[in-house]
Amino acid sequence: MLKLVGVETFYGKIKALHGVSLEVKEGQLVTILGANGAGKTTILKTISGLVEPEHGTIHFNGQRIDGEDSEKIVALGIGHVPEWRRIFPELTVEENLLMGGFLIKEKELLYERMEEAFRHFPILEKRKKQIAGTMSGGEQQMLAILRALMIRPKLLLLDEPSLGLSPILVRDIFTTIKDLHQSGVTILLVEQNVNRALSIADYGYVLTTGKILLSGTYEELLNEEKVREQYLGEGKYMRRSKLWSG
Amino acid sequence: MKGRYEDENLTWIPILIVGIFLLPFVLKGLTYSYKYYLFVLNMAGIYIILTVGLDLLSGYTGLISLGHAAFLAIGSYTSAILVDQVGIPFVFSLFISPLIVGLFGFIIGFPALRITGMYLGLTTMGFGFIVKRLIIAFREWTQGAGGLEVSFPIIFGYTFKSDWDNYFLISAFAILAVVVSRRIGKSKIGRAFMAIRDSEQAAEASGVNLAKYKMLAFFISGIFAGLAGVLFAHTSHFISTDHFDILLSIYFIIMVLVGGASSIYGAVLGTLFIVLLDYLFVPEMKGWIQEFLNIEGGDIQSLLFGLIMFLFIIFQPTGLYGMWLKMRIYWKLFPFNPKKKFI
Repeated sequence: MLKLVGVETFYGKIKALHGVSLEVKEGQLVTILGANGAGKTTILKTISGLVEPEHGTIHFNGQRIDGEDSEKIVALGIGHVPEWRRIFPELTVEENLLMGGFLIKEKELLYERMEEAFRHFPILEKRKKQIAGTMSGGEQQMLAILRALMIRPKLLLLDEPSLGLSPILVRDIFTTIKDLHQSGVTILLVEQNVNRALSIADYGYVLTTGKILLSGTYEELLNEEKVREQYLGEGKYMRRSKLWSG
Repeated sequence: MKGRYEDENLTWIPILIVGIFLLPFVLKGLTYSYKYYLFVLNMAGIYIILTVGLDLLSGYTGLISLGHAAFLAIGSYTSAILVDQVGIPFVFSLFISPLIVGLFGFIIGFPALRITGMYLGLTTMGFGFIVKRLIIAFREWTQGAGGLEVSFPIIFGYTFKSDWDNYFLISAFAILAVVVSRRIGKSKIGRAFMAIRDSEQAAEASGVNLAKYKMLAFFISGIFAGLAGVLFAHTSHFISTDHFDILLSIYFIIMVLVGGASSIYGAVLGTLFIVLLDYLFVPEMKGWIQEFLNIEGGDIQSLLFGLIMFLFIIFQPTGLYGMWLKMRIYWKLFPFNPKKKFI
């Protein structure tokens, strides 16, 4: 469904992605793991057209989308939930959802989709007229996801949905993601919460400093020593005194 | 707390409009100096047309413009030249000149695609200086720094000669501007504007074409400023570059901020507040203020407006309109309100 080949993205003169190749098949939930600054967010931004890749190709359903306007990419059916739940804080909940369906021309369809979104997460219906920025972090994240779902994306890009949320909300968010996946949405998930991300993912990629280091299914990655050491906190421990002696 | 909900009470709007058209008769009955009051209200009306457009740009889209006096100037001079030198009827100039100013806005929109905030403010300010220079440079048409006399507005054979006549012309267009800008603010376009202000990335990820909508914001704002310029030129009969100072641009921003950014009624309130203060309050109180502060001469207006903006930003960031909304909630709940002060 989505295929990246040798994608290189620059921020000014700084190379953020060093030839990333990955593939998301229809119906899969694929996750990208990696430390801060590894380029996870950049991959998503490159796919959804917020930044342009310098080299490499991106194909979505057989159509080449690298270098296209984000407007067109959204219209093709790629929904993006940006990092830090970038909702529109000064708009109401309703207006946020309407913004999600910005490319939908028919008004009836737009409102129909909005009703559906409310059915998905009924608390938001009561808060229809509330300024979105005054809601709690979890509600804002839900709103951000529902906003992306307004266009019925074929592929949903989720950027660190658990960032800055309490453990209970993290669980809720992951349940929602799982439900979405089971209802047939293909998802590309970027997450720091490696354990949880891998537990719901079909396939995972491990990214370090702009390069794909490893890839594999849940079991394969769990058995990989590097992953366990670096991301699951099962590394070897060292006495503090030894640290200084080298 | 934003005035953009559908469940608003609209019944008082016709009453208000009738009130606006009855006001000159009331003033005439009350005082002998009603002509001065009408002149002040005309000024306010023209500025309202401009500031609601500026609100769409700076309040809704979040693109600061410190060059709106320049848009006003282009509108004024374009219309003056078109009507008096080219010979186009005033009615057509009412449509053509704003569009031309809109195109200028479009051009200024280009740098806005890359820069925001402070730097955009400086860029638009630079635009203001350039326009002023250009007006002086095109001496054959604009009479340079000496200023230009402009003909009376004529609509379908009727000549608007006095402030009394102009009041009806200007208030009609001011009402139109408020209605249109509110429609824009509530529409899909207005939502896109606010989305851009709140988060450019999220807006883009929702499928908003940033370039298109930022340019559109400048274009629309330019049209409003152009219309204000046309009315300004023909109702004041004389325009010169001194009228379109950089200070005026800053006053426009103050009007929007004091009224409450991103609400159209706020821009209207803020404009009325500042203009009435400028033309009615300050001349009356000038001597007293000077004595009180122990200064001679000096620009009391700048001092006062600077102070007002300062106080509003700190104590009442939602502006006059926000204050009104809070007051309304307070009275609605009256005996049962929580013990909080409403201002």
